[in-house]
Amino acid sequence: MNAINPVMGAKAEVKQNLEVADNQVTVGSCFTEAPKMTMRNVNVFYDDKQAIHNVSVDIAKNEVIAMIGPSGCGKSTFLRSLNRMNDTVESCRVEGEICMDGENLYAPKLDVVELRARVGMVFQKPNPFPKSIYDNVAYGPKIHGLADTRVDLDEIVENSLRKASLWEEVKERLHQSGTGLSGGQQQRLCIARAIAVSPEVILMDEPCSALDPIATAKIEELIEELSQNFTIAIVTHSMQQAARVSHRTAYFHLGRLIEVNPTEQVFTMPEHELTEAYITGRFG
Amino acid sequence: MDKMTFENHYMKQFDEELEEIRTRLMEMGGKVEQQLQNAIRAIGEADSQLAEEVIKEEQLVDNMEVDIDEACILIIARRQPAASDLRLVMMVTKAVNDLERIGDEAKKIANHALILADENGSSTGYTEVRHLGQSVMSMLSNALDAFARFDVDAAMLTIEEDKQIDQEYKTALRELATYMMEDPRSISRVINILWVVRSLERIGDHAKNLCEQIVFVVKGKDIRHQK
Repeated sequence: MNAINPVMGAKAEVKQNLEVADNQVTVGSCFTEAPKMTMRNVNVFYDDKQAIHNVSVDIAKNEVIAMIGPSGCGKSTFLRSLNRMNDTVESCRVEGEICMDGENLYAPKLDVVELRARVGMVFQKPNPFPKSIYDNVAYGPKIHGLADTRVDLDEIVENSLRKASLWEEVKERLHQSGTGLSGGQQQRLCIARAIAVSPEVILMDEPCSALDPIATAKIEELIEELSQNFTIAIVTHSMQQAARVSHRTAYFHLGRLIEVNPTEQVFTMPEHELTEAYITGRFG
Repeated sequence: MDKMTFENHYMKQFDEELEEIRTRLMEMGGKVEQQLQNAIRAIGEADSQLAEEVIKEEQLVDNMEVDIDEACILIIARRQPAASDLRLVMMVTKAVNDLERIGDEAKKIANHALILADENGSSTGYTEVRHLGQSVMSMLSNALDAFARFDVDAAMLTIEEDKQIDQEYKTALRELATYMMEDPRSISRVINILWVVRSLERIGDHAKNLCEQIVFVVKGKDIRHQK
């Protein structure tokens, strides 16, 4: 009987074989024309344990790329290797090539502090400095010497807060502590802080997982707006969020990049059975 | 034979909900299949009682449509299905619509059966109804089988049957026109038959839609309106 039974077939295989082959090839469209960042054959190790296996993918300019996958699949590790946040982890070793605009980010001479200004990061838990709202945003431009005068600095702070959709809510109390804001406001403050230094790429590691639905909606709307000017890579546990905000979705599984495809395809007809099994809630 | 089940979700309740809309769609399919069969028989055997039954049961099919649609909306609201699950739910909401329309057409045929039986006239045109009726019955039954097994090959073959039905429909129209020209007194009676074959042809179209939706569920490909 040649009854085609893809879903069941996929599930049955998945059940038996959650492991992936060593020579697992990423399916879909990993590469783009005119990429902002290019990653080639990236391997990441924690001591002897390999967390990322041979990942090659591009991130296009002004694209929002979402990285999804079950816990421990390596998506955060991969994200953190894009601005060398993993350098701070002693046991961590990154192999392969990670370039931005053709420049190798792991070149020995590269200034890591400058890199982190060019590739900003927003974390899961809002982490404003215990300073005023104004100083939170002004800190980066000050240390990077982006503002010559107080007027310039005021302008950067206002613009950043406006871009982060926070200005209207805080303009009357710029000199109150940033930690006094609500969780959603704090997260937008962190985004304002990240964009104050005019980064080219913003990495977001589950930026909404500590927020309520309304604050989440505000951040998601913001991501859409920010993608006009910035390239964004976002790691998220919420598949609906990936579906809502991203242009392309990358699915990670056990340290392998399984599939990269346009988001609308991933959530309606994913190419790989593991992606299918994960986004339909069959494991993860 | 492989049977497609909707298992292995982390939420067991989700498995059950998907299995349930699928089962209820099959039930509804069985119901309209029976309605169509009875409506065609009611014409051939001039059985008014059977025709009345078909007309009465149409309400039942309408209710099924509403219930299944509601179940699909609940699944979307509660589970936010994705990929094949999403395709299945969307397919079911479209398929109940097609099945309900088939039920409507069966009811129309039954209405004409009543008129024809009341007149108690000749059986002119019954052969055409029987012929086309058999083809349409077989196509609908193949479509429902293909759905039960999620069998894309069977669905594609069934879609081809629609061409045959369209051909038979045209032939029937020509023959019915000849009857009317030969004997103008038969016109009002033959017009009733004409409506019946029209309904049968429409049922073929709905069965074709069902098959296209099966391909969509399994393959993720939309093959509607492709030449």
